[in-house]
Amino acid sequence: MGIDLVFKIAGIGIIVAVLNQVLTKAGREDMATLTTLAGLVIVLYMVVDIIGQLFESVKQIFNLY
Amino acid sequence: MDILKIVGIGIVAAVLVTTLKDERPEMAMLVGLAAGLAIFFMVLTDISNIIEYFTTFADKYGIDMQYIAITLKVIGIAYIAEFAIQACKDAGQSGIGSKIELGAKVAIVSIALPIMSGVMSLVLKILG
Repeated sequence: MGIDLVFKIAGIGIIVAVLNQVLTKAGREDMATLTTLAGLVIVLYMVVDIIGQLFESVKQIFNLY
Repeated sequence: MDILKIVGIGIVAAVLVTTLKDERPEMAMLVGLAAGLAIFFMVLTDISNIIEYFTTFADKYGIDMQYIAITLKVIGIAYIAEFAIQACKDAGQSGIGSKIELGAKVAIVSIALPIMSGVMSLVLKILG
């Protein structure tokens, strides 16, 4: 929880960007969009999970509900 | 709470966002969001200590717990709404951000109504 979260997501983003370039240069545009989508889904899954923890902790601290 | 760590995370995340911005803007936005979350979880324990201090302070001096609870709720709503509004602004969707702001204001007013009625009755009692 901290800087490693940022590095993980940035790493996936960079890898997806590079893969996208490689695949488009190799003429496989459909594979490129698929890998981009896959990378996005993975990162979204991680971020949504962390946001859920954020909501839980704020609810618990400020006893909102 | 280590301010140096927070500043470090913020700057590193800003650099990573700019590298990713032109290539993959959606990833850049998610990296920004993740940085905000990381910083929040570092500050979390200190926030709960401060709140703990205020509640014990209020109990000691007999301040009505109801007002403290409502104030804390308003602060919580304001913080979460601010988090979402900034995320929307980062993504360039300030329209959605302003809608979230409207929802947050409505929620805060609806929670603060008992306080308002209390104050009004107090004022009328004094004047009446």
